[in-house]
Amino acid sequence: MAMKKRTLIPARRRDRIANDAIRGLLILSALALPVAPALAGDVRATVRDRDGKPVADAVVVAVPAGGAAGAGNPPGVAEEDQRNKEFVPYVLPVQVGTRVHFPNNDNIRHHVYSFSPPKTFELPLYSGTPTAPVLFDKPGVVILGCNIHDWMVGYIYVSESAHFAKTGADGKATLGGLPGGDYTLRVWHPQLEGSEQATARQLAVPSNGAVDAATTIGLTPDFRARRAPTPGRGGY
Amino acid sequence: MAAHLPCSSPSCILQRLSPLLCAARKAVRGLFADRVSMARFVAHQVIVFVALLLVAIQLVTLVALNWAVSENARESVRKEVDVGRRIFGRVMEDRTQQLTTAASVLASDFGLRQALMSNDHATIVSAMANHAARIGAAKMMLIGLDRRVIGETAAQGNQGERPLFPFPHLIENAERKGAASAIALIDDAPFQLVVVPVLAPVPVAWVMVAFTVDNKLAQDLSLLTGLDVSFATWARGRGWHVAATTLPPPKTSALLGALAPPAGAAVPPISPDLLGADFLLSGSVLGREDNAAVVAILQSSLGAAIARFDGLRVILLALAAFSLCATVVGSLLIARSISRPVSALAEFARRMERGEYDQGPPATRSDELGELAASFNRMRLAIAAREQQIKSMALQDALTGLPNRALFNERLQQAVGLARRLAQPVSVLLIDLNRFKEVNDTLGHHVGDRLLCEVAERLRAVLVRASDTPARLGGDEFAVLLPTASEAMAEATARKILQAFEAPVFVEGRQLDVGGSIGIATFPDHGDDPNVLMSRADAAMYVAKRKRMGCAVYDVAFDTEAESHGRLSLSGELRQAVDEDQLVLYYQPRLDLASGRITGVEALVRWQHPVRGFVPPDQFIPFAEQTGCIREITRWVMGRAFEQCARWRAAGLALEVSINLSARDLLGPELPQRCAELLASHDASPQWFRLEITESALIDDPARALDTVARLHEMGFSLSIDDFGTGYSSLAQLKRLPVAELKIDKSFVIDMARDPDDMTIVRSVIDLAHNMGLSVVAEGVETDEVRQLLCAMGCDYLQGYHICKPLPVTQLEPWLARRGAPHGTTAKET
Repeated sequence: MAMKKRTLIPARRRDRIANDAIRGLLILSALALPVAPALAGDVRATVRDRDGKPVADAVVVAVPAGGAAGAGNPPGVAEEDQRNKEFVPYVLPVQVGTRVHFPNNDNIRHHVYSFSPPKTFELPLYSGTPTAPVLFDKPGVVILGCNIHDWMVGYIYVSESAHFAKTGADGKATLGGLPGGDYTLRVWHPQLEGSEQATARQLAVPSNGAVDAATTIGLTPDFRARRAPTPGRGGY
Repeated sequence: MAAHLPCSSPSCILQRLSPLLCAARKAVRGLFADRVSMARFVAHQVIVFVALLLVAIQLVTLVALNWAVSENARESVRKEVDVGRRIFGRVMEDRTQQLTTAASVLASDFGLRQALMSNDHATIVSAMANHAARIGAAKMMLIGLDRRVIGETAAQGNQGERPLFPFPHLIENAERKGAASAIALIDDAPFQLVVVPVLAPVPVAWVMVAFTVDNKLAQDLSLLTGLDVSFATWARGRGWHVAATTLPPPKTSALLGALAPPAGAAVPPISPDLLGADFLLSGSVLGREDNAAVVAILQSSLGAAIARFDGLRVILLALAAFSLCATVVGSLLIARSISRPVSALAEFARRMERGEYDQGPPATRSDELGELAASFNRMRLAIAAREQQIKSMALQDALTGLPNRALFNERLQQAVGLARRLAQPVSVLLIDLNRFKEVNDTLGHHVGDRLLCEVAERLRAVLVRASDTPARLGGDEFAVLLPTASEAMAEATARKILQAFEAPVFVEGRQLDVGGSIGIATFPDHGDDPNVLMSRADAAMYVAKRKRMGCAVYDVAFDTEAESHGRLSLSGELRQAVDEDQLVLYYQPRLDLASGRITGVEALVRWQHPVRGFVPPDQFIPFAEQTGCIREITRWVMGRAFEQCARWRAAGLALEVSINLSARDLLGPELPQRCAELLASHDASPQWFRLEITESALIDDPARALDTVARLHEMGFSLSIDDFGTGYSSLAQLKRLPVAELKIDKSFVIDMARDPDDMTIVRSVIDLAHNMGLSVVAEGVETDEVRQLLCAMGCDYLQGYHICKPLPVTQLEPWLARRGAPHGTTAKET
């Protein structure tokens, strides 16, 4: 009966709640940027697939021509939530050195793991938030999985650069507060066809003002395990 | 199709049945061994026909059943194979699903994934081996997303260049569908391969799990499908190989043999009739690559399906055998029920054949056979009645109604038998009518027949005793059996008979004298055997006739005479006599009273029989005339006489030779011809000869006889009437004949000295002849008295013992020489 009660909240609404939360988090981090030195430019990036449709959850990274080291703010803490047996957010871009918490908002346990070379780790069955966050100290893509829910997939994009942003549903992302100069702009997406390096392009960012960068990427089909059915709900 | 099945062809069935038929035939033969052949034949026919019919029906049934069974079995096997094929497909699908699931589950195992992601080759291989064992897989292989093999259970420590995964299409399929499965050859062995991704949680690598395709799998599938399952592999250059099968080894090799064509470039198709007609099979290609293929073959034996009907076949055969036996026994019984009465009827018919008419056929049923038996019985009675009639006819003389020779002989036999037991005498009279032949010849047979009937009447009248049996033996020969009659009694009876014959018989207004000669023989004095008795009576009769005694009782003295005068009745013997020159010509001289010289001789034929000795002419001439043999005799006589006459003429002896011609000689045209030939061949003159014919010779066919006589006369022969006075010739006929001479019969001449009648006749004839311009010859001159009388009467020629008896040439010539002078009036030599 208790489970039935939970179903009173429609699934879509619940997703929206989750998205709002993520958005809120992003806004917080974005608001933190203008506190940085003046004389900075913005990159207004747009990511579309070959069909011209906007691509969400693409990570746009701008790497300064001189290298990323030492640039930008020290990495902070991020959170990869587990809600409704999904990783939230689906794609979490973080800067190298970021510690990520894996709070479990489900009333069941999860077993988060990653075999990805940048960060191989495992959080054996737990509920709530493990006390120690996981440090992502190498750039690269860390694929998150849950050992007991095969369909749960999450990506943590560990960026060597401090300048990155994730596209929204409209395929747009804004990288703000970039010091003027030459950058290498790359785009990554979980279903990216080809390597991330292939998307690299040089971009000159003005010291003040914004530059537009539109990128078209190819996407492979999303491959995910089938979501196990829960009572009262259909499959994935 | 049916011909391939065991023992389904008709010939094969016949072969099986033939000993049965043989046995049945033997049984039938045995049962009827003691029956008559006809009954056996009927029974045989019935049984053989029925048995053959039954066998034919059963053959047809068996063939039809075989056909139906074979069709049925074929259809059911076809269905079985069809169902089996579907089951097989479904099972294989399920199995693929299960294996895929199992592989997927395995690949999802965290520990495995951890191991696989460890990048430590040894760990990877060992983890794969462990997990492969968990699901009973034979092999396991880890493949990177770059489709290169990271590690595999079978390989040992190969750390070098990572080889490309050999089945890239599996990866492609797995990419599309999440998993892929195929059956393929690894190191020439078939495996079921399943490729699933290693999800972490997105695909980070591929795992291939291989399951063996082995006999156990084949057996499982065989159990489910109910068919024999074989997995065959084909590899280029290596051909077919049976990797797993439920078939026993011989069938496996048979299958392999059927499968193994020369290894071509592509997988050879498997045709449904790969194994011939005995099997139905379904082949399905499970996996195919460029150089190899794995094929499943499901097969079912048609023979096994048909064997299921063997029981039915056995029952049917047993039923056939039983019905055949029952039929044979039944028809045997029926046939016997027919053949028994038939045999009885046959036995009855044989009794009738033997002449036993007293017993009817055995009483039988009221069916057709009974009717037949009744008909047989009526036939028996009719035959018996007719036979009685025929018998009575056979024993009776049709003309006179007297018993015939057969009955007479029978009665004689009975009488002799009885007389022998009772010591009584039995007498036999044998009666021969005098001159009957003349009556017959001159007055016709109807007159003769009337005469015979009259004789029979008179015999009946004379014989008053019931036991006395008169009989007509044939012709003018009668016999009388007198049982218990002594010689004297018999002679008395004979006299009475002769007395009865004395009264003349009137036929058609003619008065005929009967007259007869009777021979008497009495049992037991003259013979104790009927045949002997008859021959003795015959001898006595002959003597009586010869001596004109009326009747004569047999005397032993008759024997030699009878024998010497034994009737020569065999024409063969007579002809033989002519051919073998047993005949001899004697010549009796004729005295010419005018000159007193012997001017001629009469040629007389004699028979010197090699056994009987000398046979006088009156013993065989009448017979020769009857049989026609006289013609040959005349030919012979003429040939000899002409030859002899020519010889005498050549020797200066001018003798006129008289030759006797018979009536038969005058009827044919040969005689004048023969005469002409003889004249020519001996260079003789007709005037040297005198041809003598009897009066009776002209009676049968006067026209032809006269014609012949006229021709002879024209040729220059002079003709003479022989035995003149004894026949019935008329003077008118005499007038027409171109004769030159009459010969007075010797019966008138012999006694003329004592008998004034004879003398009158002789004188009258001499006068008559002279008045007609004919010369006269007197025969039978035996005394000088007669000679002188004839001389006085003016007779022209004399002939007789007084002059000279007939002599052979060898004696005649000396006699003539002795006589010498032309006058021999006193010559008395004999």
